[in-house]
Amino acid sequence: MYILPSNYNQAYNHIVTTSLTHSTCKLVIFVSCLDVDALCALRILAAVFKKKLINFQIVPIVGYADLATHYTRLDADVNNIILVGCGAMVDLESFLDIDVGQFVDATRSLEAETVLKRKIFVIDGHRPWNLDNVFGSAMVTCFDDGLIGDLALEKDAYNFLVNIDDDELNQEEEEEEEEEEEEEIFEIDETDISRKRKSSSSSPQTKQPKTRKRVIKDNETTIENYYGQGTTVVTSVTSQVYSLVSLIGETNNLDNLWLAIIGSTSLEHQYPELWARLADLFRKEVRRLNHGADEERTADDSRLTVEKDYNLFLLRHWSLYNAFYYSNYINSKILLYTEQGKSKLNKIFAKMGISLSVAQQLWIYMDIGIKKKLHNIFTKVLVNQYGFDSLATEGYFRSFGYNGSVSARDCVEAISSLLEHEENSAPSESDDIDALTAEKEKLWVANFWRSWDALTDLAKIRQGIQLALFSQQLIFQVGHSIIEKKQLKNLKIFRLVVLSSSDYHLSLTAKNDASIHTNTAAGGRKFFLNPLNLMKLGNWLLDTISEVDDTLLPLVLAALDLETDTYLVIGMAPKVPKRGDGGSAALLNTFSVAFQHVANTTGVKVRIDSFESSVIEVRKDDLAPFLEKLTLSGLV
Amino acid sequence: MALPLQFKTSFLPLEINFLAENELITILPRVSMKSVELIGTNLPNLNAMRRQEIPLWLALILKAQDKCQIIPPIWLNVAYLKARYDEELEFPNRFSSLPWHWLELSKMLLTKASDDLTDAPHLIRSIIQDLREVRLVKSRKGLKELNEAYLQLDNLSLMEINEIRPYVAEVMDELKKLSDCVKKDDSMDMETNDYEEDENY
Repeated sequence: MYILPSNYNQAYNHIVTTSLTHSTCKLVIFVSCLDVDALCALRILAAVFKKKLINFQIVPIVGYADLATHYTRLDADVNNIILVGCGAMVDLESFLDIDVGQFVDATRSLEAETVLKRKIFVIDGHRPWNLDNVFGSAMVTCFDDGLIGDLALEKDAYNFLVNIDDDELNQEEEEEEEEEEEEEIFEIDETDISRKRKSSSSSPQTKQPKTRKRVIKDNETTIENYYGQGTTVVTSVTSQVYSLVSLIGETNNLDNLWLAIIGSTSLEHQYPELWARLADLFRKEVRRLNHGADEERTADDSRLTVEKDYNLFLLRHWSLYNAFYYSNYINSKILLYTEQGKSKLNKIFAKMGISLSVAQQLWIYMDIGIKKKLHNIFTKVLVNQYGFDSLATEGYFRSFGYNGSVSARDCVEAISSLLEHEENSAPSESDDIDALTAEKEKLWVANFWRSWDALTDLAKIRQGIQLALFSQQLIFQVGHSIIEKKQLKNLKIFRLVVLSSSDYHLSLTAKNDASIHTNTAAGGRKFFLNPLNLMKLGNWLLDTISEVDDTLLPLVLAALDLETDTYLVIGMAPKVPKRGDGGSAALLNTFSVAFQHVANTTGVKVRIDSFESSVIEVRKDDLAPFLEKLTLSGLV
Repeated sequence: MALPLQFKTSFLPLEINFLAENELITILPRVSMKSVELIGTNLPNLNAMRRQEIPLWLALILKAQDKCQIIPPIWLNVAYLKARYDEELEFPNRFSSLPWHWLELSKMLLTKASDDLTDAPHLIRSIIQDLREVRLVKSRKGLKELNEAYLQLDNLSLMEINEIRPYVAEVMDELKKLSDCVKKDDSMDMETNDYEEDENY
């Protein structure tokens, strides 16, 4: 089942009426843990439900396995489950092993229509949808972003196949399939893809006419193509939640809008076209809510403004020079990892008429005259002479009274750094992989709550910004060394970087705040074992590559975890270089399909647990065969 | 409440806040609600758009759900508070008259219903801070006048009294003991004097 954006409020009303209770908690919200967007969306939802005096429980979850365990632990009288930022891509009913018949509300059901006691709502931007969720299940309600309407072809094919599935496939074959499935060791092999693909391989009974066979075949191809096109994120969860709250009239304060902007901004870098679509909407909302705000700055000032911003890294929190140096954008434009690049940066500063000593001052102490002229200088020198068209952008700023203000971009960096930095870096004694993984996941959940608090606390955001500065430096350092040491291998159909433990040696000279120990994340050794960090590094590499090499090859990054002897592997779609118009559509990430296929066909030990389906864990010894198969599979 | 010893001599600010939540306040409801009988109070019928006095705690819940508008008390505006502040400066030896719960009420209304106030919240907040500081100075100066028997606290609010309570109570106890001793000594002196006088005879 799915629900159109204009009907979100119906889903909301259903949740409210069936969750309002004096006794137990009837609403549980599962939220994807390592996701700034989901975090912000959840904060909006939580505020709305709290206002309605509804009891609810929030469960941050780290992966599919975690989702399944938490689901089985639920009380029987939980009526509503909301999945935020996860769940769109698996067949929830079969994955969570739900027996729908168990939840039929006999007292309220009519003959024509069964009423279910329990409902699952999916608010997720990951695509493709699992068609079972969208068209099949009565229990699962997907929040549509307005694009399900385009799936008419797939819908017909799906319905057709579902109807023949039952009567025409004979029993034996099904049993065979089940056996096959049991043999597999992967945690997420129950997805619809594999099932559908198997049914396609099984030959229909001979008495069926040929045309019938062809129709089935056609429909199966439709479905396969749909799943095989690759994964992406088409919408931010926060924007969906924001349209929900605007339907129920909860958009009269800035807090919700601010959270929505932060959440959507977090996807800006990886999915620029998504942000481009939403930015207009947010600008209008900001204008609407700021109506009548006076110019004078007061102590309670919490206004939201749209101002000029630049593609520089955390400009307002360290020096201008560092903001240039550590900006992904500038880095990819002038190839900072080369000597020429570095001298070019100095030349740029000379052309801008800003001396290096001034540029290296902390931003807050920098000459106010230069700051005021900065925009003109940037347009004159950088845009006109160097052609950095997309340097200047629009930024959203929230002011916190006399405590200062912070931009949505900086906030995203801060929050995501809080999510990914493991505060407690004591090496654990346990050798058991499962125990280690569990420990890691527990830290992630703790980080989730830390970031939750930070969303409304300027002091904590500042702390996060310090962490962000630290991690950006680390990413640059490792990135530079990857390119210098030529660890980036161009294979036939993808690029490959394998990080072994020796690559993480830190020589950070930048002054570190007391809050960040240099042994944060075990001296960087574990730094890239967090998918978010590894993905940031991947982004950096893709940005850099896109400027030097025109071939659009995707990237595979693998980082070794010495403790568990596994590689964390992520696959990322190639990137089109940033241009002024910004109109390029992001390419779909085809690794999720390829990873699954390779895992299914080879028997390599792989753990596919992350909600980002292109993030997997592979045993150390299995990496080489895995990559080999990946190359040969031709799916990328 | 089970609390460490040092908190037992006086109320916690939280507890005072709790007491203050029972104060009545006028609201303009946006919805109608039937009356509810509770052990302590009866909540009256609410008619939409008709003013009604209800306890603050209920008003704040309704306010959080956008179901009412709170009519700020007459003293919670800049003009009134400014007048009290001037009064404080004019008469250094007494406190101006403010409600028993002025600090708590203003704090709650400023944080939870700032959009219903007639003046800009930051202005109110700053005048309240001024008032509080000038009164604090006065009450500290007043400590010099402490004696064992008598302390006048005209126009001080519960929160302000509570702040000085642990100190004042202890000092007064000590003073009482001292003065008792002095009295005893006096009477002893008298007795010995009598004795001496007797001897003189």
